[in-house]
Order: sequence, then structure tokens, then C-alpha cells
Amino acid sequence: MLVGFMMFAASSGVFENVSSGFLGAVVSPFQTASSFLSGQAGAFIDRFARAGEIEKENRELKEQNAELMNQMVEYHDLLEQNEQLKKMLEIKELHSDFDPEIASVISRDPNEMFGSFTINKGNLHGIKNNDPVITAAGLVGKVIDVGLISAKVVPITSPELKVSCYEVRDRSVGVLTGDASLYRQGLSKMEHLDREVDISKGNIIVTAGISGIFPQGLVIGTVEEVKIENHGMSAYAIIKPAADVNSVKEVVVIKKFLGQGEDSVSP
Amino acid sequence: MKPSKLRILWHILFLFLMLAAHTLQNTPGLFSINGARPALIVPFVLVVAVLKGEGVGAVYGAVGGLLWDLSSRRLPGFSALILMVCCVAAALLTIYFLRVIWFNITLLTAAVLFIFCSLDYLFFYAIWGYNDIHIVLLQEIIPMAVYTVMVSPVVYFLLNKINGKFPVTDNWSG
Repeated sequence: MLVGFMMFAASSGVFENVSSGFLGAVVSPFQTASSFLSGQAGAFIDRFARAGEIEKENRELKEQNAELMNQMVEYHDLLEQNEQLKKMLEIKELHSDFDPEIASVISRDPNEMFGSFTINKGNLHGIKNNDPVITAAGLVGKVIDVGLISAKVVPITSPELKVSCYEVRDRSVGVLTGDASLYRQGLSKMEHLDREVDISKGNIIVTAGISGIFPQGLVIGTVEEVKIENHGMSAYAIIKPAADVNSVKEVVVIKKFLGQGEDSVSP
Repeated sequence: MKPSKLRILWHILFLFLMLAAHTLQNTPGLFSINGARPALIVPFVLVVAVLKGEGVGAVYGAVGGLLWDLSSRRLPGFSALILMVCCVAAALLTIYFLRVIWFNITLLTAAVLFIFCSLDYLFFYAIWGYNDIHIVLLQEIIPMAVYTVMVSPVVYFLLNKINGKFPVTDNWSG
């Protein structure tokens, strides 16, 4: 009978499915748990067995990490250098007569007068008093006090600085200076304009180069608003400098330019 | 360690800390709140003066002030003179009248800044006749002074803590 039963089961396959389904349901959770435990135990033992290897791998990864960090620092330095060189090239292309020196703003005193700042270049780099300070965007100010390896710069938003300038379209001449009520907003003032001056918002102001301190034709900024002075005799324009004077970090000092130190006639 | 060696070590450390405070206060954009930044050198020299007496205070006031003068565009010696006199006064006040607590340090910083800022405004702004110059006082000098007064307790706690690590030695001014 048993032989018959075996033959029937072998030929039909019914009992095979039942037994494997039943056994699978009962055994599978145990197998899963066992497999998990075995995996964990294996990993646990493996950890000890491969301790030396893991430590070596860890050390290598740490070294790699440090190397990558150094590469990142180098990359950022190169990026900065690249940006500086680009700016320098841009300026050199526009003004071939300039002898530029790139400098970084290293200090801004919390109680500094009218936003003056210190740069990291001085006498040793050939910088002198009255050298113009610019960015690729436009005029920033001028050097007023030179040390061996640093110099102080007074910005165009300071009332202490006066720059002869003109509007490029109709050549209205004026004097650019700072104003106590404007410099915190990063604005300057173009004074001594004719009452009937024909300039308006957006017009470009450039240096006149009359005194020989600033080269002629350097962009200063754009006109924001034109107003009549309180005395009513002349007008003034509020100028938004092209360079962000209050937060500039990199500047270019022009050590030499055509016409430096020479007085010239008006533009 | 001998008291003389301790004193030298203390001075090296505190001169280094003063340089650090000066560097931090002049770092563009650091601690900036709406454009105002604290003049850390003022509470620093004041705290040194009240902790160590009028002699050390005078030296640190002068050196700190000179450092500040050199990095700013003020006449060299202007801040040095004011801070030196103020440090001696602050040290004497704490010896004879006031207790050395954070509140008194804050008051002393406020008083010193009032004197300093008044003279600074008078000599470097007001007498030059710039238009609307009071705006500089309102928008720049007063915010800087208020901010400095607010950070002075922090400077006091830090320096007091560091000073406390050194055993008490007599005759600091000698």
C-alpha cells in the first residue's frame, strides 16, 4: 500500500506541493532568523578577523579625505587667483597704460571714518599715496596712507574725497564727493552741476582726469536722481557707484597710468 | 612656577589675546549687525585694568589704543591716550568704590565709550563742517558703542576665566 501511495504521489505531485508549502510556512521564519543571526555573527566575527585590514582601509580613507580637503582648498585658491587674473586682464585690455596691482581688503575698522579700509599691499609693492583704487566695475577710491605692506584707502563715498568727473552723454562736468547722509547706502554725490543740467537716472559718470590723480574715462557709476541744491544756484546728482564700495573684497591699485601727476584741461 | 615667570606668561598670553581681539574687531564683516561692529579692544583693556590694577591697565590701555590708532585713520596716540587715562580711572574706581562684577564692567565700558565717542566725533567729524554729519553719530558711532557695551560682559567673563587659571601673584604693576 505504501509503495502504491509513493507511486501515486510521485506521479500526481499533489503531496509534494502540500508538504513543501507546509514546511516552507513553518521553516521559513526560522530560516530567515537563522540567516540573519548567521549574517550578523559572520559580520561580527569578520570584523575581528579583518580588523587589521579595516584599520588600514580607514587610515587610507582618512588620508584620502585629508588630501581631498587640501585639493579643495587649493582649488578655491586657484579659483580666486583665476578670478583676480581675469579682472586684471579685463582692466589691462581696457586700459593698456595701467600698471595694476591686485590687493585684498584686510581690515575695516568698526569706527572707521566714512567706510575707509585697509588693503594688503604697500610701499614694498610700489604703491604710493593718491594711487587710484578700482575694480573691474569702476572707481573705488584712492590710497591715502601707505605702510610697508599695507595701505589705507578712502572710498568715493567719503566727503573727504573729491573727484572731477563728467557725464558721458552731454559732458556735464561736476565734482564727485561723499555725503554723510548717503555713504551708508553706498551712494555719492556729484556737485556743482548747472541748474538746467540735462542728465537723468541711469546716465553714466566717468572720471575727468583733470587733476592727474585719476585716469580719464574711468567709470564711477550711474545717476540715481538729480536735485537742486538748497541755495538754489546749482544742482547735484546722487550717484550709485559701479563698484560696491562698502563691501568690496578685492581691488586693483593703479600704480602708473598715462597722464599721472599731470594737470590737464577739462574733458 | 615662579611668580615672575607666571607674570611673563600672563603678559604673553594677554598680549596675544589683545592682538586677537584687535584682529577680530577689524575683520571685514565679522560680528556685523546691520553694519555695526563692536570695538572689542575697549572692553578688553578695561577688563585687564580692573583685574590687574592701574599700572598694568595703563600699559594695556596705551598699547591697545595705539593698535587701534594704527589700524584706523585717527591721529596716532589719540585712542591710546584716552584709553590709558580711562583704564587708570577704571582700575582706581574698582579698587576704591566698585566691585569687580559684570554689571560694573558694562557700566564702565559705557562710560569710557561715551567719552571716547564724544571726543572722536568732535575731533574727526564735527569740527570739519561736513553736511549732515550728525547722521554719522546716529547711524555709525552710537550703534558701534551700544554693540560694544552689549558684548563687554562676554569679554569680562572670558578674560576673568582665563585670568582665574593663573595663581594670584602680588605686585602686578611692579
